[in-house]
Amino acid sequence: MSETKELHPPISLPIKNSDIKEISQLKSGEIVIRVANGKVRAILEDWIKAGLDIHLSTIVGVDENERIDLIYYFMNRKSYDSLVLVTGLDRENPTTDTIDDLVSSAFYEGEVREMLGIKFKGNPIERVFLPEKWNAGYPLRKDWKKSEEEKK
Amino acid sequence: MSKLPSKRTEINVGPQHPALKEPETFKVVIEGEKVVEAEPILGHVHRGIEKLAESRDYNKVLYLAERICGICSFAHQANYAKGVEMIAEVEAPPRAQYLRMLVAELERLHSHMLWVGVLAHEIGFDTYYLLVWKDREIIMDMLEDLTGNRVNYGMNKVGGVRQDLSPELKKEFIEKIPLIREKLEEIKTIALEDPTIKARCNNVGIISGELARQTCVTGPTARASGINWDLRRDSPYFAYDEVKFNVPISEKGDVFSKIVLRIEEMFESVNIIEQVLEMIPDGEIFNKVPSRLNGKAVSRIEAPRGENFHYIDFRESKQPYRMRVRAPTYANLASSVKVLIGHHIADVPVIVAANDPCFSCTDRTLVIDKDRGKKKLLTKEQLRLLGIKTYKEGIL
Amino acid sequence: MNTIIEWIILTSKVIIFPGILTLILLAFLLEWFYRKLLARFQTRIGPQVAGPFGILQALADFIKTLSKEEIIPETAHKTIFKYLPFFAPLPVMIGLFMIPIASEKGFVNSPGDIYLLIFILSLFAAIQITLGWASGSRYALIGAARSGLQLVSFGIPLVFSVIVPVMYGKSFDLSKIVEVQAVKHGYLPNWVVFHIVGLLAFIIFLICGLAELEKVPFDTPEAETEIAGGWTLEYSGRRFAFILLSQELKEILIVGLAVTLFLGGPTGPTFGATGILKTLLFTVYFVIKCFFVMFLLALFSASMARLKVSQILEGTWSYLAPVSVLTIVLLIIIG
Repeated sequence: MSETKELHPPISLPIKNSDIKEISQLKSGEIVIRVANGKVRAILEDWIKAGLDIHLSTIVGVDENERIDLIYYFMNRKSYDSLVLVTGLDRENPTTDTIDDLVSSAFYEGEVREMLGIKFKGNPIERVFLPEKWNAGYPLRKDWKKSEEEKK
Repeated sequence: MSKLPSKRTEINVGPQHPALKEPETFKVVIEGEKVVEAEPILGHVHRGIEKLAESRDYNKVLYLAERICGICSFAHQANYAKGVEMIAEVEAPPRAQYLRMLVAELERLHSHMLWVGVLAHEIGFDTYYLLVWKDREIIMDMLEDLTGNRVNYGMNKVGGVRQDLSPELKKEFIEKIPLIREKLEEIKTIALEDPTIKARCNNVGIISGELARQTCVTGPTARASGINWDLRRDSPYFAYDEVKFNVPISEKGDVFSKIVLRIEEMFESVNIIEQVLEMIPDGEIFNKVPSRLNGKAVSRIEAPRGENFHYIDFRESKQPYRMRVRAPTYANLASSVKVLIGHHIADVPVIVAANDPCFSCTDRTLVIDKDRGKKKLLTKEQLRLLGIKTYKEGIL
Repeated sequence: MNTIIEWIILTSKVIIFPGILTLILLAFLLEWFYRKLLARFQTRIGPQVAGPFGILQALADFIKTLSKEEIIPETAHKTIFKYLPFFAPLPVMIGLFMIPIASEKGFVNSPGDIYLLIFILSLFAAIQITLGWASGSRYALIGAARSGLQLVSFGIPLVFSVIVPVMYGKSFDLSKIVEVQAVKHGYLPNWVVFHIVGLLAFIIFLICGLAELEKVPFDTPEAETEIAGGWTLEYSGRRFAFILLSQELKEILIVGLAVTLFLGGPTGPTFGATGILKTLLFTVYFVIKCFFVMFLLALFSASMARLKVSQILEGTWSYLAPVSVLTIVLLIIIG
């Protein structure tokens, strides 16, 4: 985290300096760029307008106690460069826009919604993994506990 | 009294259906024989692996990862081991890398053969299916000889592999390679020349390049639609940068081109195995790894079905803080659902099978059935009475 | 007194030989042969536990299915669902009485055998459709609809291919057709299949027979991997056992018909034998010929993938039906 100065996003996946809140690097080498909530969609639109061939590997939701991080793992199919966008969401009312109409992400978003309770505005999918009448909270949040009933 | 079908009929393909080898539902609305709507219903085989991983030692997660899937178990395990090694900043020794490559390619061979067989079964060509599966036994035997198991090999550990390749076994493997090639030629000839396979698969389930790009498909599904992307070549791991191989590409995107593409890939896998056996260096097969780890990594490998994605996050701990698994089938699901529309019912199993779906990979997170928890337990006597009651009502 | 003895002999003929029991056993034998053969084609072993070489497998399956639990779905038409399956083997059995097995003449024979047989085949298809519809499952309904489509599309080539031996024998009576074929014609017997047009008709008959028996590549009404068993899906226990029996009997009806019409029926060298010995010899010849036809069917079935309904319709109407008409025209021209 201290080596921020040396890190640059890959040239093939341009990103405006004003959008960058923080740059870090994964141990596997990918550059991670933290952006404000709602920016992911705008950046993706820019990329698609610029004619980039974007692949979305997945969306990872991580419960960071004070907030919930959404990690979007993008790759440019032309140069095989990966870029990771991270955006932090408010834990109490986590809401963000879907990107399903730009790259297919409905299932990933649906999964994150079920597991961590993030609402994606405009996501068409109602249910992915959990049973239809599930009301026992969001299992992948760190404070989630099995209900008393289940323990018996 | 049954009703005659209205113009639109809804049928469920699954959760238990002879065409699907694992429980999954595809809700399909048909008009006559044509599919007009399709929707997948997931979650029948949730096992809570991601949540479970958060409470386990990283060495134990290795075996959890292996059990995500029965067919590409090695891909999941090796991928996880690779990710943890990156976090620990320990590299597996070269011999271990080559051994991993060997098992990975053997696994690709047996997985692709399995797929060709399953597809043949879906189109009702059981003779071809059994012929392919008979040849697959050669590969299964090789895997058993090397690792000790036919599935779930338990080959990896964090920092290397567990089983070494003895010189005798190496010699035996080298002798088997011409035999595998010969069998593959046979498989290829039948696939290319049989008219009924062509009739059922040609121009069926075409995933156009555009749809493939939009739905972010991976692996053979992507390569059959003209996306030139193979992680083994484009972001090399293990020792894939040291061996030479081609990445077959097809532009058409239909089921038939996927058969041909997978068979071509099998030939490339044999080439890789041959080079691995030739080039494998001597030395240690594992390095030691510290017990507490810190850092995040994304580990991706080209599993038989496509890009296998693991996100692993350690925070000064033995247990991962967060582990996220994205199996290739999950990425390919959206495309096959979109392609179903407009096809005949007879094509549904073929198109679904064409992506080589592995639903255990797809569903892996967490399920605790709340409703089941509320149900009172029945005693044995009550069960017996209930059975008799149902029996009487049902028959008479 | 004499009438009573005659009556007893007749009854034993109907029930034992060459009647119901023999036919059922023959059906089981043929089913076992088909399964064993198909298994060998597919590099499997096939039935091997029940009896030597698993020869009793079909019988064992029948008995086991009889003892299984029966389930009647909520959505089923109760009366039809409950009773029709038990009547399913009946029309096929009546048809089988007309096939000459132990002598040149069928057990029952009339000048219009073939009309009746074709009617019986259609009747059985109607029973299939009704059974599928009555079970109230959507899979079964789709299977029944496909069954109807196949009946319509294979009906015409089937009838035309049957007409060819009728024209050779100049009769609609099966025994007449057999008699004509029993005559020596040079070194070979005068079987219909040894004539060029007859061979063509035989091939068309085999293709239609595969469709009638719902075997790959024409098994769309059952299509396990698409509609999970089709019209038989909801039936279980005794009802399914009887459906199974009717299908196995139908197998021997189709194969027997092929033998009778094209391969000279049960006739063959008798070596001067008469009486019971001749009857036995004829039965053996019939079974061997049945095995041969079954072998052809299994070979055909094992080397193909299942076709789609649309492909079957296209194939029958644009190739099979015109060719079958052509055989008749050809036969008229050649004479």
